Amino acid sequence: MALPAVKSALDCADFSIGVTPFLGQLRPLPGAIFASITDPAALKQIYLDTNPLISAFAFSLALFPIFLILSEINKNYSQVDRLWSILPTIYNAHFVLYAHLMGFDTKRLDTLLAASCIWSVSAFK
Amino acid sequence: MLLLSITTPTYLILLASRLSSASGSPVEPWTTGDLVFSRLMIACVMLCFFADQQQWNYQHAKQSYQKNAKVPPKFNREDLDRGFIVSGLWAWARHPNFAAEQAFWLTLYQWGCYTTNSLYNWTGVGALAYLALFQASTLFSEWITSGKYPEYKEYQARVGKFVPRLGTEFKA
Repeated sequence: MALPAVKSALDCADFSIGVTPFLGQLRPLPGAIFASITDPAALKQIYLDTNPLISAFAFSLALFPIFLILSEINKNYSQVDRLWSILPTIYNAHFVLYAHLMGFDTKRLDTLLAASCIWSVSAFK
Repeated sequence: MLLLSITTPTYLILLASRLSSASGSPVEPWTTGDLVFSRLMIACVMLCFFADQQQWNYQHAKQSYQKNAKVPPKFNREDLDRGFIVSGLWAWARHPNFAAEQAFWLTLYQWGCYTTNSLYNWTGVGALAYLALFQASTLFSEWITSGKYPEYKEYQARVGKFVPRLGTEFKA
């Protein structure tokens, strides 16, 4: 399972329960993605099977070289600035999407995402 | 990666939501606290927006004053001569916009703590790193600004950086 077995609210906040068991998912992830790159159904399964925090982390790692290349090509560092206002909401949206796909109750998460979107809109330069 | 770290409280809330979906669960799907936190976050955005707006209006007025030596309406000469804004939200803190920004993500962290019944948790690292970044960048920008405007040092002495100092108001 991609999510930890939690029994209490406090368990959710425990790093050794919520994060550590899934760190091993990071390394095989790029290989798994490339292997199924042409298969949307398989990609969706990978998305669901990967702990959302790990997939978000992998995404942020992947962004790094893309960033470097983009800002070198454009010689335009304000790209980073713009991304600054959008990226947190993208991460939040990813978590909320995951919860929706898993069928959780999402009222709290949806409200969180709304607040995050409002922030992004106002922070966007 | 810093930007991911400030959203880690959302992961906690995701885990908690899974608990709230099961029947007889220890986590309520929605409480008054959730309403408070979400409204607080939006209030931070509004604060930030107004602070930025005030700054923009001031800079605009300053530029037009410098160009045609006429003081625009709603401003006074002394304020424009000073070179930097000290009125409105900027009378309460030197960087009200940054304060509101940091408050926004701090509030998300608190929301995560509240939802998971934790006094503090590992996602605080993201919020802390964010604060550290702001400390460093405002240090730098204030160094530049105080070099440009002689009265800035007095502003720094009187008005707090992000948190208002009680009993002090910058009188124009």
